[in-house]
Amino acid sequence: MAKFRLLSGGLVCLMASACAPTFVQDRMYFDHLAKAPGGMIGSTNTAAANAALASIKKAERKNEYGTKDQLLLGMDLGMATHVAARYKESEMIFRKSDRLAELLFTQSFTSILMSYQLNDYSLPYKGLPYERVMINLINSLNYAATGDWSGALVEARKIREKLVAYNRMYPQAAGPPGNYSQFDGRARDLLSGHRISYNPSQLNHYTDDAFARYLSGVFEEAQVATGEGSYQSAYLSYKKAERTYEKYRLLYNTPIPAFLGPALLRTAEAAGRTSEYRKWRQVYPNVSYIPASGYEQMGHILFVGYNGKIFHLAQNKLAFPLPIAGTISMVSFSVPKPVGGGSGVSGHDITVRRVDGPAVYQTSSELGDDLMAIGLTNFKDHLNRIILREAIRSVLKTVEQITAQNVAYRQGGILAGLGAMIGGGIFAVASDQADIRSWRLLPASIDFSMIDLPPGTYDLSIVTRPDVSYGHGGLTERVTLVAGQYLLIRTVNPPPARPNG
Amino acid sequence: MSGSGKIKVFFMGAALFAALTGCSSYSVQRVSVDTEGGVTSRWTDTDARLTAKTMIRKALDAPWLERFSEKNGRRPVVQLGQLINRSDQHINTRLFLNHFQDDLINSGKVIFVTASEAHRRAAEAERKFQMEHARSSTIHGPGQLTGADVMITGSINSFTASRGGKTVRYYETHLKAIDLTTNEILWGSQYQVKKIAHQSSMGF
Repeated sequence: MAKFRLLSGGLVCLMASACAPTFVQDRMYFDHLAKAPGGMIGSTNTAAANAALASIKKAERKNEYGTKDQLLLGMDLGMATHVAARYKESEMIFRKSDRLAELLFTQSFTSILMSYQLNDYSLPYKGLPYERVMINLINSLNYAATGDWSGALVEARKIREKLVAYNRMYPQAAGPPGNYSQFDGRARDLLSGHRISYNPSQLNHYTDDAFARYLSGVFEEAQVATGEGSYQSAYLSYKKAERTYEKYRLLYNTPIPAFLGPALLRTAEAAGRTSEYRKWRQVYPNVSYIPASGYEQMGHILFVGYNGKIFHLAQNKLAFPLPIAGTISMVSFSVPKPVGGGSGVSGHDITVRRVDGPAVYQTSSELGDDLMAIGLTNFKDHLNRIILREAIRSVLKTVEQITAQNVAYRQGGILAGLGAMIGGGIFAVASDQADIRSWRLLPASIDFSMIDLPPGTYDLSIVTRPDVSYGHGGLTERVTLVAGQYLLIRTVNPPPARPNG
Repeated sequence: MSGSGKIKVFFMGAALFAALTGCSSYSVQRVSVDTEGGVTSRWTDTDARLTAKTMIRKALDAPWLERFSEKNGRRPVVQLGQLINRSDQHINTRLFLNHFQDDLINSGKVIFVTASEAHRRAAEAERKFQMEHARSSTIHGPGQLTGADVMITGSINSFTASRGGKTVRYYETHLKAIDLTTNEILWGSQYQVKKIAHQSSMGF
């Protein structure tokens, strides 16, 4: 009997360890990034970013990402190569990841049945909607960084399609399959009895991405000169961005950014939408802008800053008494909970100088996407959808365990019953794991600024706001702009190094 | 087998089953893109070829070529403009245009001139080279190019529609032939590629 228990326990432990990822890649990654001079990574000072990328590639070589975490690997590799300014490489990785995410979205019935029996680690990681959307958002910036505005626009368009498709699916969320449905009522009673909210059909609050909408407008404008873009389409994108930012203000406390006003006025006028132009003039009475004819003769810098680190997930164990087969048994299950994340950087102050000359332009970036807020809301929507399934799973396991104990007791006596209880307990503990996989390499926020300048060569001095204690004065980038050119400048402000990092 | 033996077998079997199936890898099956419910609803090379083939048939069957020939006593000189990708997929529009151009040239009903900046620059550099180095009787000098009568231009749009567990994605290709003298649209046509992706309703 001792041998049997040891073997069973060993197998169960093997199952558990084989399925649970180690989650150390992000710590090593951010530790490397934090070593960047001034705590900031630009387009050229990429030594720290390359070291961080090497740590992810090393984890890939050592198979630290399991076979079910290939999407997570793609997301991490794509982000790390993007931060290391290897935009083409990052674009290819993200494109592959996007296809994989699409395949996983249509997952098989069998694998879902298995997740009811075991845990979500039996399913390949497919990411939450906001994470799948970020594949396209970051990838659109890969295309933008290489001047492929048509490709950037395609990525931005995919976002809306994705979000519509996801929300279309949730109201149709099926109940538990087959025999599992008999535990549905008990699980609902359990959750209601303990005032835990759940809704398997919960829709996402994240139905559109305002920053992606705004970027779509910029990408359209970048193609007006070649005839591939139009002011009509650019205007419509900015208009949708404005509407979505209004929703953002209520949902995430994100203010409507000031860079939207000039874009709306310029494109409404250029598209000949006079009544709408008048309407926007009333909304933005004091905003000055350069009309399209002059704007086309200028060079444009798209400044994008990635700040901090998004939250990650940890296990939250819940246990409740439940009457089963005439006795009171403890039903326990684990759900993920968000922890950590954030950034001390709220934005950047950018000063532009002619080479060896005085400052000609100063601006401050603004929040484009608050990924922490978007991610947390999206996660809560997801939790609302999955918590009933977790409860069903735990009720099912407890009932199976009690039944096996009773059978063992009747057939093999008290010792067999005790063995079944211990074996069942080990299995329940080993398989009761919340799925805490998430894309940990995402920043906490993305800030943005549009800088319009006459053609020429400039030095951009970029400093964080507020000036973080671990910084040493920010970053300087030299750029040369020609008329009609759009240029992406991207910075990364990782969280400060851990005390022992 | 004794009662305790059965229990041993049951638990070992259950643990093995869980260990093996819980951690098995998923697989991806490749099928023809023409197959309903195929793994991809993306635009593929086959879609490009199919669309080009259909659009060529439509272009050749329409009366605009005959009308032009009757009016001008010769075949029209055509150049390809832009095919703008307005879809939500990365589409190599050049691939589609190459199929279209090749088949239209081979029909013998039109004369094609290049509108490619790169081709024009290369040809111009070659003419300049010939001016300096080639025998005078073989030189192709400047000012001898054939101007286009008609420019073919268009766009590819995509949109999706969902019903039940199916998502249908449409790729709509619009082409038009514009008379470069009058800006009249001599011919216009569209073709839709419809792709169906099946969607599990079991997702959470």
